[in-house]
Amino acid sequence: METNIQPPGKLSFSFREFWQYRELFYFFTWRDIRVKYKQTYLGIGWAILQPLGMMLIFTLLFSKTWKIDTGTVQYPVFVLAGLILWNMFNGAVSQAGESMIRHANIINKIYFPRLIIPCSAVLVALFDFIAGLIVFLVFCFIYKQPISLSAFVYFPAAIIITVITATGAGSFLSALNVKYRDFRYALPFMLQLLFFTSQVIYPLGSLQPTWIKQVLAINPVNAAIELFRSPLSGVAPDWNTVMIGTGSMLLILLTGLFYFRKTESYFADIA
Amino acid sequence: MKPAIEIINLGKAYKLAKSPAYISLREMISGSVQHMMRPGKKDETFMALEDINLSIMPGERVGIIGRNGAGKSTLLKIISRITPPTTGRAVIRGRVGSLRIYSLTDLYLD
Repeated sequence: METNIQPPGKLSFSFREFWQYRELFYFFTWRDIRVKYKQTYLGIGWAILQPLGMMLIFTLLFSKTWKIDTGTVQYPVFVLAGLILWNMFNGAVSQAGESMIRHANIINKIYFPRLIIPCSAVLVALFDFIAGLIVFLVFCFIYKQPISLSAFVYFPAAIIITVITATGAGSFLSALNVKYRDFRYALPFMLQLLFFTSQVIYPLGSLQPTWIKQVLAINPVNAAIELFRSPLSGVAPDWNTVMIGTGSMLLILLTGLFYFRKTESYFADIA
Repeated sequence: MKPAIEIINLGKAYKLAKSPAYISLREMISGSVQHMMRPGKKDETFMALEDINLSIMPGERVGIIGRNGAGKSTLLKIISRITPPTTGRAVIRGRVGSLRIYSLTDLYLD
């Protein structure tokens, strides 16, 4: 094996190298999943309890007190659908954002494509999501919620949008976090703000005036939730929201990868 | 036979910052404002390594000796691809183990 070491180039993103290190990627993810619920009594149960608890609170607040109109879908099912997607996004971005700092020791000792670190954090969140999805399907059964066959297309599409957005935002923030530790404190706050601009507790369609919908659609999580809820209500997703969201998803991914790539080689000097 | 490690005109420059490496966003913004007020003032750079040439044949055992700040660790960091060089290049034929710089705290943690 011959390795050439040279000053970093401008834009050389090596997917082949990433593939060569797939085993390390797998072990990082598997280790994080195992460590996450070690020494806890409830274990993976936490991945289920958190969205359930929030669902309970939001149902009491918004369906009983404020009476938000969610059409044919009952509010607990409606809010849980948004919550499991949001939780995946939230977990992925916050974990990925912290990930480079947490792995500072390994970065200073061996070489591997650094992108593996934020990507594996996103994958851990996806694992939690699958646990949440199973609970969601159980709740659909309890509430006798019909799910249209379009779910076979829309559910995976919603998951892919969330994962790609989280990968882009996560790698961007993790790179920023290495240099400017400010983002460590700004991140939870930013995610909190983003939560209220996502249609988790309310349907985007209920907002007036229309321009506000267009603005909020920039948040790709809205597109994902829109797609995810469509098979439940039987109403076609608002394609305007989906298109804007997909566009900004691509922008977030490219910005994230570009910035990560640009700063990656110097992580060891400052981490 | 080709050398296992070949280093050609290798150099590594570090930027010397007046503030510590953990600069905050606030300092960066105030710094860039100051920079605009007084243009032409550049960051000081420090060459940790300059024009290093060496080749190590397979089976050879080589030790690197030098005083504090001579650049021993920097050279090893570049060979193990932890940090990139600024100039020149290096060719590695084979595999490189992990870099381990022991300090008292490391030993405690292990």
